Amino acid sequence: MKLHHVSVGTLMLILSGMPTVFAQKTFTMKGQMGQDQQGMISLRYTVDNKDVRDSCAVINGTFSFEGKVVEPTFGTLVFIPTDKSINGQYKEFFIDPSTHLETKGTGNLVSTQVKGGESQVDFMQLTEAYLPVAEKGRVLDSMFRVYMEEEDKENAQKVGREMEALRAKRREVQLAFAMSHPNSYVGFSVWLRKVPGFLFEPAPIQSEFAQFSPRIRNSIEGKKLAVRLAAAERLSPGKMAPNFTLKDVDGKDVSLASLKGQNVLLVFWMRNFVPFESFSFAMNKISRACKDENMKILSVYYDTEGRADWKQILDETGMKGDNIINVMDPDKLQVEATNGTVINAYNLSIGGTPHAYLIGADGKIISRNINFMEEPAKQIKALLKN
Amino acid sequence: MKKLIQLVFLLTCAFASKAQVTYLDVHEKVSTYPKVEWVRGTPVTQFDKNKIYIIELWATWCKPCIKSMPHMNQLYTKYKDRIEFIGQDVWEDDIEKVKQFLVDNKDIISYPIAYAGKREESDFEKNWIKPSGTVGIPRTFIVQNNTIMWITNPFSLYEEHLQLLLENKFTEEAAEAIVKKHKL
Repeated sequence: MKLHHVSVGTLMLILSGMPTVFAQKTFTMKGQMGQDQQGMISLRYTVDNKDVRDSCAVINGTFSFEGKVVEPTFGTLVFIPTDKSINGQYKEFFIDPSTHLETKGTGNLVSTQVKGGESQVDFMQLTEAYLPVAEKGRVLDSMFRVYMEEEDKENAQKVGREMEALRAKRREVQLAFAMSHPNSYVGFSVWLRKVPGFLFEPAPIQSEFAQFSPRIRNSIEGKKLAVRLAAAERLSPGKMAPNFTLKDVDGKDVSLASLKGQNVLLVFWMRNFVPFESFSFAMNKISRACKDENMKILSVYYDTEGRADWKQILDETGMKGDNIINVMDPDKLQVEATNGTVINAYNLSIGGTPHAYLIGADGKIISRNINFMEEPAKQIKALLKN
Repeated sequence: MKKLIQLVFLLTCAFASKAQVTYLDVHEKVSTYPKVEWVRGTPVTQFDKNKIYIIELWATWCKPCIKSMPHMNQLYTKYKDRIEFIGQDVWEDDIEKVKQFLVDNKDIISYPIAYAGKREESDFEKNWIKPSGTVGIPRTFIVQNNTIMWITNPFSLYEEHLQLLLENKFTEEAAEAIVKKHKL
């Protein structure tokens, strides 16, 4: 189990470097459901990581939207009928820039078909390929619920395993679609979901990514992934850990290079995930378990907005052992975000916290795959022994 | 009078600045039991160096906790004269629920019970749950000689463990070996 993290929207800009401005293009959407449909409908999609929401009234089954996107993007509609006894409904589709989407049907939202640009055509194909899996999923889901209510653990587990197998099947369908549609934003976006937040092993992802068309690889999301892949490659075991200098709790400069001759556990963290105590507990445990190792823990707090909280968090969690050096430098971290040292060099993002690197006495990275939830001290000791 | 106020003030300061527990793990020293509300049994505020404590974290909504109760109760019945058992209720908002649970389940739970109180506000949360990195219950802590000897769960706690404690021979390794033997 990895640490679960909660994202903090406003920091994203700083941490993803300079915000990039892309040309936004208008799309329109017109809907016609059955004449008897009344209520509110809302549209959701994302533009460059930001959620966009819009809503309007459905009058005699009709509604319309207008918005701007940069690239083909996944969108959803949620319809809440005025009549509270009728359940809300949901529809998924793809929005292409500079296109018009038509949502037509004679009943409720579920009955409608969405027609739009080339990505929507792809998306409908993918949805069709899903149908058997989706149908079986619905059956298993209701079975699972019944067994859980009856506290029939054995059968619930059996169905649980079948559901897991079905999820794997769903993944297969998605991947097969992605690999057979190398020029499709739909294929790329479903493939991208399997790419982990923190790239421990970039090579297999790199080779699959290379199969997409130049148009896809040069899309906004494609370029972002390329940056992450390059960073993962730069930071792989055997490579020199990029140096940096930040300030400790007393305001003194501490550089990574100054710790040469000792092993270093370099940990980037912020207090943006739960349960945070599992992390601080692990840090304290490592500090005690490794007190006789030739190792320092360089603990970098990289929340560029949370400077006031830093020392308080250290007090509360006691992450202050003799072998722990706590550093931060909000001003510098922000400046460096654009100059490309700490944050860019280590490709720090909001997600995937904490990022940890075990660095050898020679300054070379030994591992970037320390799991803080699974006996980290044992992992570190084993790695240092080799 | 002024002196008295000063004294009270000084005492309050001393109390407020009492060091917060930040790390609780095997081999760590413990002296104070966090402030909790005792529902049943003699309150424990300080750990007695000469006593053995088994602290079992549970809640009325926690099904595995309830499942483990007959087993814990059996151990309690047999060892209550030599070992202190504490059923520490956590992550619960209503003490009445706990009291009712004890009435409804008197056949499977008869050991002393403490109530921690609301998660965000409780001293137990701050000075025990968080420092021990506890993210799930049931979870069992064993204290002997003012030291955390072992952290486990009630399903991995056997009579042999209690024997080792009483014979002063308890080690984490020996404890794990017993679990291994049973679970094979």
